[in-house]
Amino acid sequence: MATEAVRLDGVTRRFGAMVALHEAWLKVRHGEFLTLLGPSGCGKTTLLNLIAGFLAADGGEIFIEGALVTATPVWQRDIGMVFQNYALFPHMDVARNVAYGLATRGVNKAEAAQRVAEALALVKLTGMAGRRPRELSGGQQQRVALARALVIRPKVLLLDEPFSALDRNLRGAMQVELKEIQQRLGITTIFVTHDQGEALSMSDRVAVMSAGRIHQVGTPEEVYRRPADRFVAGFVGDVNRLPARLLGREGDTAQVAAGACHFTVPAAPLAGLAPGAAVELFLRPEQLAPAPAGGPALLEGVVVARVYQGDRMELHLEAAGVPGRVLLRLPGHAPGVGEHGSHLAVQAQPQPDAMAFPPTT
Amino acid sequence: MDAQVADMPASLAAPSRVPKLSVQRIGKRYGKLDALLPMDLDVAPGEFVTILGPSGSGKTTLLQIIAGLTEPTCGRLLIDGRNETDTPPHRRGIGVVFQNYALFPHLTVAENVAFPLQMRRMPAAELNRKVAATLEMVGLGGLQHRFPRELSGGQQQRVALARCFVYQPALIIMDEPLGALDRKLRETMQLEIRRLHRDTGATILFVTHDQDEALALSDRICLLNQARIEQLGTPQDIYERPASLFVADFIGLSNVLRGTLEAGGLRTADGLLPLPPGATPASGSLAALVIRPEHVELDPAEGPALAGRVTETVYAGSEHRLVVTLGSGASLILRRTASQGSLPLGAPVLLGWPAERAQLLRP
Repeated sequence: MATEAVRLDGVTRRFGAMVALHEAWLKVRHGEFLTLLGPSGCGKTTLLNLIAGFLAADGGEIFIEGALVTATPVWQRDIGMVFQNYALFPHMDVARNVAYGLATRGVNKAEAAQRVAEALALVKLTGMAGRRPRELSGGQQQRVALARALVIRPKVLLLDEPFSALDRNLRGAMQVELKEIQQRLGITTIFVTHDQGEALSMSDRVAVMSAGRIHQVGTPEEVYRRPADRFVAGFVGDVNRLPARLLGREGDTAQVAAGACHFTVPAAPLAGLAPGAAVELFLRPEQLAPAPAGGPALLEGVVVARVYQGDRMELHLEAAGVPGRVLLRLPGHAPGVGEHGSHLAVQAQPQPDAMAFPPTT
Repeated sequence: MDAQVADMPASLAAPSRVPKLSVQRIGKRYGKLDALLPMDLDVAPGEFVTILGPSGSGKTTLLQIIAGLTEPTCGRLLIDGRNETDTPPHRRGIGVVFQNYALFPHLTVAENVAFPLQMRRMPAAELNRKVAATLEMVGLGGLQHRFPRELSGGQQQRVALARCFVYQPALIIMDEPLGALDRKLRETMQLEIRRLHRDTGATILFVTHDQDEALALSDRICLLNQARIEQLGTPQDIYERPASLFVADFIGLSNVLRGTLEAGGLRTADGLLPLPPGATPASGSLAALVIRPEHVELDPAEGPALAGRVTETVYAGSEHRLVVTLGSGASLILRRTASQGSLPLGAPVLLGWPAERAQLLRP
């Protein structure tokens, strides 16, 4: 297994004048759970459909298990696919829906029955084989779709926003279940979502996309703590953007100053800027805290909203010189801290994952 | 129900204030099916109450009865102390905002917002002034000549909000108004709705299935389950003092340890666990302790120490969640901050929690 499970070499797809996917380069490892994350229209579903073969590439090559498949039709790519809207056959019962891909592949009846039973057991639907899709809940229908994708023993499992039609609690349960099944089978999985929480919690690696381009491929921790650019920083989590100044550079790191505080940040995004240049400092909400009285403050602002979230309280501040609002997350319900309309001095937690980028022009 | 009403903050339960909305023993049956069991709910003037619940819990039925779109099988509905049970919808003085905007596609933004005022035959000068002021309030000043199709989803929802706020209805009902928006926009609009609520003093009844939205917006949450009120209380009450396992499970993450009560605590497969102070349970009955993940500690200084192994780690950016499986096979979730970091799979750990952070509930 010297090769990757899936490889894209400069794959491009246009729709008329619009470039939906611009020269995508991507290697997906064997048994890996890779998520394509991005806002709607970023090209993530296009990329998935190109791998599946539902769309043809306008340029570049696609390999599955080392074999060139750019021109191979869908049904010969050994791909299992799960869609957001389940796409079950309403007139067929669960067992026939799951068996569908086996019949078209010429698997004999006895073996098909055995494999359907195994697939239904895997998705915890044993005993439901005779039900029609309309007699099942949304979560159960999506399990049928997953069983149908897995029963053909595909080389790669592709899922396009499979849980976005489900309500929150069910979505959480299905995420855990999919991850367990994926790990048990060790199947290479490419998952499309616009939900950053889903991407961070489920993936081995995440490819963050915007406007037809892959901005960064990395582990969840890499894309959250060390985003490659301001788009990735803003999309994979909430971020505060604060005016700051570049002090200097040393090797891979740079020093920036904001308020009365200094931060060490990766130097790469600031290449070409001279000391003294204005930069934007990016800090996650959980890396800010109220400053003790008299201590050095990063900024001072007025609390314009307190948003209770059960395990935490979110404070929204308006601060002079800071475009947009400053967001803090405090544990618990933070009684007495940052009442609505009060002034609050803010500092950063020790050794925060700070990033800095050149200001937008 | 009586106990829940008694739990209300004194300011909201003060008898001198006539509730803006009073639902009195209102129920709805379809044949043999109870869509809504007879229930009571008072909403104070200026209050923001969220009706929260899973699909099929009865929240839409309750909303439709209040709006006058469905007739209740029993009970009375009072608005400002007047019996409006049989009043047709358009005479109830209720403004409604739906998920799908329901804007008129052939009318401009200003014409859409002016519509309810024209229906009320407001003079043109006053009408124009109100429309302009309301568009300014929702951040749409300057877009009055656009058509709905020329606006983003968030902007269209603002038009729907403006069309509702412009005629200052006594009571505003919002039915999953942010359901169609993506997460970032939804959070922005939540803050917008909070601001509108504060600035106008309107009484708002908000329906959602999203627990975070309910926690973020509400003065009180009315949590429905299986056609009845499961709990009515402030967001903090509901999160920190859930009345049942359903509530604990529906709102946020919960750890549940089940067992049998005895003199010294709750006897579970993982040992005898101390009860929260003040709990006076009957020995021999089944019960459950509920502990929120943020209160579960590693290597606790005091209290019980349950031995387990890390069996799953979930990265959530701002925090790590660890799943620890105990000797009995039961599992507990705990939160670790980004700076505390995660632990390797298989690591042996000792877990505990401050006894007062646990809730004792019926199984």
